[in-house]
Amino acid sequence: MSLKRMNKKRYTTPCGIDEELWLDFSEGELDPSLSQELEAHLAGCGDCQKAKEGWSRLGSLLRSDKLEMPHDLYFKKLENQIMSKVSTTQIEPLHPEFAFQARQYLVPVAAVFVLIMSSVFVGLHRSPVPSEKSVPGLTLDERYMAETVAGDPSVLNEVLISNQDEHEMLLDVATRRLDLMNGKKSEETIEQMR
Amino acid sequence: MKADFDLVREIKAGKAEVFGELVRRHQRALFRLALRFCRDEGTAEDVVQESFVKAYQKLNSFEERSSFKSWLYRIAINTAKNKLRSGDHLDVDVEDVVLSVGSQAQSDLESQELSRLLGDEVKKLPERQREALTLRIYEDLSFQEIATIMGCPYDTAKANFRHAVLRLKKTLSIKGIDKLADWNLSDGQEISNSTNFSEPDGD
Ligand SMILES: [Zn+2]
Repeated sequence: MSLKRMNKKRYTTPCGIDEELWLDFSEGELDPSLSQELEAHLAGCGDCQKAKEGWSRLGSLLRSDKLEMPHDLYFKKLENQIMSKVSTTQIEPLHPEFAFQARQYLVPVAAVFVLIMSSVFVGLHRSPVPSEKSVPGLTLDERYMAETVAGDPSVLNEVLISNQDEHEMLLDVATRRLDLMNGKKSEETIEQMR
Repeated sequence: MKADFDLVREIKAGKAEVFGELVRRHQRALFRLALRFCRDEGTAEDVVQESFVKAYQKLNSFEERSSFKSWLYRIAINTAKNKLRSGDHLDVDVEDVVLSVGSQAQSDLESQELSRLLGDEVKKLPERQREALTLRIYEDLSFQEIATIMGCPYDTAKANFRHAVLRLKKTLSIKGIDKLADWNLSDGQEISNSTNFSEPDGD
């Protein structure tokens, strides 16, 4: 399945290094060996220096914004307010009614569970491609797309169990895939430069 | 100085007054975080108060799997989001949540202008991307900590940050601001054959 229609532009520096690598480099997010190789390249490449400085500058521009914080007295007052509220409340016991209530609902919950499981089971044997439909909010196409990009179904499943919506999930698998590709691409590029 | 975990245990054992020490330790950081999200001191103060009270009430569900601070941040971010969504506050709209930028005078005009423009762009980021960006840039947290706070996998935290920064950069480029920032990347080449998703709009 072609993903080209969904391409977004990615840029390399003129020497062929994926520009986003310099973001990871600036954030200290690369493994040491790749980081060292890039550092060595940086010394002799003006374009990459420019790209790297661009990310660093964006980071420091964002970081340069300091908030004006209230005076100490303000926090003393805030602390008092919080503590006076705390004094009128209590630490809640952990699931206090659970033991009692759980038993009460155990039988109906179990019955519903069995019903759901049997309908899923029946469904599985009725249609050749039903499992994809069991993922809420994800169309078949999206699922195939995600699986293609994730490459590995276990990667996809790991992502799906977290509490994200499908857009985040797609972003997530795509980024993982890209991380792998970025790594390979830059290794190749560095290899070629030697 | 006692560790947060020790204080938490003392509070759970009945010494409620020890909670004051946790408040003193973390209220400034929490206030700063809330202010980034809410832009407004009054709302930020409400968020801090409510977060601490919630944290106290729910202390038994804190299982020491993360730092107390991470747990507290998570409560604060959720509280801030709920507050803005519920329309609890008149001046701030959830669609208009902003990481407050530009409150302190910059040394030169150019940086000031850039900061303001960046601030405008930051507030347009999808919620999760804004969260990741705030925690990384303004709170200087590791992606592992950010993942804990956002309640998502490490890669998701990183992906959200990356997309936030990429989007900011892209907007700066489109507006020609990268030149102003002495960062002209338009002479780079597009990587061909990259199978890549376009960036989703987030929430
Ligand atoms: Zn280069």
